[in-house]
Amino acid sequence: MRPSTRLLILISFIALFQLALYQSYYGANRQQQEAAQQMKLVIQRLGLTDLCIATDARYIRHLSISDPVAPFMDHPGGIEHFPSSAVIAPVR
Amino acid sequence: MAFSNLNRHRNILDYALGSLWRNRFKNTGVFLVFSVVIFMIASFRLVTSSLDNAAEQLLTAVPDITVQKMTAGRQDVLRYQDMAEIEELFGIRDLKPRIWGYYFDELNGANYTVIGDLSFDDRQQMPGLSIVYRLDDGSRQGVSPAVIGQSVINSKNLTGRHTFSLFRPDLSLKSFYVTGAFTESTSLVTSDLIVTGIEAAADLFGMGDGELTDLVVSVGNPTEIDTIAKKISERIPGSRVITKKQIQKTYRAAFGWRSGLGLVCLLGSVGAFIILAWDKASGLSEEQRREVGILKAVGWQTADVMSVRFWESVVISILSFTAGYTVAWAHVLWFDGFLFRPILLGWSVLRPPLTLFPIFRLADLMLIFSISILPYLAATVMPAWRSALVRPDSIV
Amino acid sequence: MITLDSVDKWYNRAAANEVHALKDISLQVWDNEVVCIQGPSGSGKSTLLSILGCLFVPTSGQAIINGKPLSRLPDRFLTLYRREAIGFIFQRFHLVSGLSVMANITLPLLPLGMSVPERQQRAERLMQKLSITHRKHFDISNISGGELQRTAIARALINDPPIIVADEPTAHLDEQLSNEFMSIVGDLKADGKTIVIASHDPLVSDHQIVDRCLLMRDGRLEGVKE
Repeated sequence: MRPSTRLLILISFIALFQLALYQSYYGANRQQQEAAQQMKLVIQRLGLTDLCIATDARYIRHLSISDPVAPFMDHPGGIEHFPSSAVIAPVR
Repeated sequence: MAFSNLNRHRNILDYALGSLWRNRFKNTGVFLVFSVVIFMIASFRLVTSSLDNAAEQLLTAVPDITVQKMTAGRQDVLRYQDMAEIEELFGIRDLKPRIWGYYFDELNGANYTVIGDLSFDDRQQMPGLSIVYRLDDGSRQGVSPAVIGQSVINSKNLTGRHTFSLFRPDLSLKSFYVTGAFTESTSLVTSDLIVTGIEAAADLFGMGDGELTDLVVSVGNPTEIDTIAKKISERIPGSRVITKKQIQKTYRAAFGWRSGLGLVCLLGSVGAFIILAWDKASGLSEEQRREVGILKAVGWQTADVMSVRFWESVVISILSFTAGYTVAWAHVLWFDGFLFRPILLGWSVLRPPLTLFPIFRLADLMLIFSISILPYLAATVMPAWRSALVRPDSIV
Repeated sequence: MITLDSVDKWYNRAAANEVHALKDISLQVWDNEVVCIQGPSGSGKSTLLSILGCLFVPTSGQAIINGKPLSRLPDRFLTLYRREAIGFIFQRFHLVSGLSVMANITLPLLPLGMSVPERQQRAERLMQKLSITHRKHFDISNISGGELQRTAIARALINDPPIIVADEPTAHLDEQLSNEFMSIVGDLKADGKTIVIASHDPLVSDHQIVDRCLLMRDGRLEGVKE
């Protein structure tokens, strides 16, 4: 078998795997859309403003409505959660 | 003629693949390193884009306006009188008082978000719940009904239990009865929540009569949001008025910072790999030199030899890109991007069971392509050209 | 017909390590002739063969092969001409290791866009003629010296060139294989090929099939061997 034919077969296998991935994605997408609908209802019902991603500082938990960021404002060991502030100014 | 040209390229591709196979150990190493680099960048971008997308999708439902009070540059309590100041404003469709705050659980170091909702009633259905209990009237004595998120259940070991207590500021205990649990699929917004009635929340935080933390404003005409926000800030001195647009902008900026910084760090690894690729391609061994000399001597043109090198680079880079990107996709879709979540999400005692859902963006694909494959091809072009210049008489 | 007229070849001209490899070489090789060029090591045989084999052009003088002047031909066109007109057999064969006998033989055909069946057909014919069909899928590192030689010859003949150039073809062969080689040269002559062989091996230069043997020393042709 020619090497280029073997390459074509390999690419076909990769394409098949990607197809399986896409199938999985498609199924998960439907579930995700349903979950998103639920979450939107909860957000509307409770007037939530932020995603619950990390809970260890109020300006992380509630990014959008907490006090402006100030290092050590919670306690002396409370270093910045956004190390990028050392080099990048906050977005206006 | 065209068919012959196609055959020519296919023949040269066959030769290039054979050449790659003859040096399979070295080329496998390059392939693996390249795939890992692309995997890291792609995973990072997919995790970022999934969070970006989640924020964009979900935060369309956030309140039109949120009103807080600031005193001496710090958040302070609002009062019902403040609510009365703005109730009459034209354009406001709905106005809800709210208490929300943080409860720090000393036992396990976790922070919960407590929301006191005016219309909270365990006898009415709230969206997003998996388990619902109803307290009978007799059991309501001394306990407050609460609906809680999955992280709260886990950290307080409430599986199979229904009651828990939290400390008031004066260290007396306030009891809650779990009348509902948010589903895991809503964890992205509900994971650390304890939702209860507004009086129960005020009681827990030791807040005075008529005190609130914020007001949630719903506006009839979305185009009026900014105007009404301005009027609110005028009516309530010292208030901090946050609109929906500002909330959405915050999230775009927040993930932009972290992912940008992470990407800059990963670019370092791309740079290192390109240098490696250049180094590997530049060093022409005696065997390689001889091989090119033979090809030239039997009638191969410089362009033909360069085509071989070109195909070798293309095959390695495309296969690496495909492998890296596919594995990155699987990493995020099936394994929740566990390798990069800590970097983007930060450290946390409570780890909300987040399900990240990757989003395909052509821009991301093009970005990864242009910072990986293009530099790799560029790094191998010069060495390929130099190697193709070996003279045919060099083997005589 | 091959004509060289006052051909000179310099390496690294005007540099500290300049070498005047060929000095005023003039010769003619007729069609279907077998010519041997004999001389000691360093006499310029390989350089002369490289010009005859269109591997490079002379520094000065005229080189005309089958009516085509090659002296000022750019590299690209030289390669094209070499592909069509010359079959070169190298001293150390110079086959690509890691490739099979078949792959080595068909190497010159790849950039021509020839299909796989056509390439295989041509190679099969040659392998049969040279009795190496049984080794066609063997890696060249797993075949004998004689089989290597015949593989190199097959590769040189795959494009059916009118001119064969061989550089010290028997240098690394024993007497039996050397005789086998000369027998193949006889077959090629019978097929109408023109053959130029550079060799200091008397088995080659004194062979009956050789029409002329030219003596070479210090970059010059000194005459015909008696």
